[in-house]
Amino acid sequence: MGDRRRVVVTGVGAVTPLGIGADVLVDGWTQGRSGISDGLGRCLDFDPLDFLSRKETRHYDRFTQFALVAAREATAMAGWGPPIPMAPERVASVVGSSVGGIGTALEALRLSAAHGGQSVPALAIPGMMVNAPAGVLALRLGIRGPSLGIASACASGGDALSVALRLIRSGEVDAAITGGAEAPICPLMLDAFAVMQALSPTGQSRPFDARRDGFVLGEGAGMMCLEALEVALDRGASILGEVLGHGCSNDAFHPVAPQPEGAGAALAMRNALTDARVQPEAVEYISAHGTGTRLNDVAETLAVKTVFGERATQVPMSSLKSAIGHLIGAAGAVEAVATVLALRRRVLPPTLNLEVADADLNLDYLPMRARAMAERDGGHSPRVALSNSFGFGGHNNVLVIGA
Amino acid sequence: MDGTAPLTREQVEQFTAGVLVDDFSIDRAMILPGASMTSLGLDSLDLVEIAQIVQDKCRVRLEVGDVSLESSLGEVVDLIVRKSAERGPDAIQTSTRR
Repeated sequence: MGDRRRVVVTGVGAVTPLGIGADVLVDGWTQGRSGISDGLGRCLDFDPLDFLSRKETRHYDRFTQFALVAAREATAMAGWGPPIPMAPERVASVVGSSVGGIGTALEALRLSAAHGGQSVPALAIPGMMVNAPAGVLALRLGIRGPSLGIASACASGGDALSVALRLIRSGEVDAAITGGAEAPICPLMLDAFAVMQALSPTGQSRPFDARRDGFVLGEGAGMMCLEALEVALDRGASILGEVLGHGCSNDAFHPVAPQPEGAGAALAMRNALTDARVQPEAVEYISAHGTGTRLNDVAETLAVKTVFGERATQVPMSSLKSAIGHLIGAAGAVEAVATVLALRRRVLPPTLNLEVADADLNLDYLPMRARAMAERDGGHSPRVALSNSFGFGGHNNVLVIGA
Repeated sequence: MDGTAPLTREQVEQFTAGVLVDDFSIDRAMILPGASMTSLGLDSLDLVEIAQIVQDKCRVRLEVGDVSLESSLGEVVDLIVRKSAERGPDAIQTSTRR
């Protein structure tokens, strides 16, 4: 195992419909609380002026604001200064988002249509660009390594963590601030998801339930500080967990529908386990993509059966989307953050609103209530979970997380 | 400032100070007639934003080049007062922002 760098988690942060903070998120989820109201997963507790000046609030789109606040929590937890405790040119910023600053873009469009092009805000472009959080984080933290916006729809957040993992493993950088952010709640996005029948017309997030009718749109961000193990140990950082590996694939099947057997998802899970050098038997939990669409939940279930075979029914899996909705490009990162903390607590968080079994879905989806993880090895050795993210465009991302 | 009457110097001073403090988080103590845009920590995109706010609230159009980073706050105030006095009723525009 000494042939490549290990990549550990030293800080996590989240802004979600359950509140501000990663522990707030996992407290709420494990207690079975929902952040969804009126059919939307909005971050109602979030006031950007609690964290940013009026000028910053005006210049940063809501998705960037989420990323900055989640990153602030993660970097504080990791002890990343300021100043940052490693060479700034050896730190990356990699943040996923699907649609970027769509609110800024729509407001600019409105002003332009109503009052002419001269009324478009001066910072419309830096506000709407999908790479804004990566760039703004670099600027604010003074980090000068590779800085990337990652766009792979609902896999963006997971893919951002994958890219950060690769950058650190390869030795190109020693650390990264990474995650995903999204602020997609607007009439256009709701209409667009609704017409393709991806959005729940009843506004209920019911992954794996027989009554599921689509996802609930949510917003927020999840961020992590990742570091090479030796860098974290050298500076005496607290280590929260480890990104053991990752797997990526594409269905190459349809623009938005998953391959019905979950072949692409299974490929990503297998790639992830191989990359992590983890046997399937070691996996004790799966943070499901679990959108609550008719198609995803069947395909994901079949993919888990393909990868885990007979043992599939003994691997508990649950969907955070049942509690906060679908955070699109932030989902994979927020779910990875929650998985790290759930593993640390030795808790298997629940799938909320799962009350009516579907005959085709017969795995252990942790309905309604959290469970304690079975104790093992006196509770000290790391426990292993997968975090699945699948996106429109056929993108699949799976992370293997230990904590 | 309803856009119908020329603005007084006092009105413009009050308005610009309010924008700089509220919208740009600039310390009120730094807001002096001799202060340059650069010394207030403003950059060229900030000037575009300020021109948009001035157009919206004062119905005065600042052209590119009217205000530079070296311009003093006093010069900017003078310019807005002068343009406000020069504008005819035709120049009055509806609010474009906020």
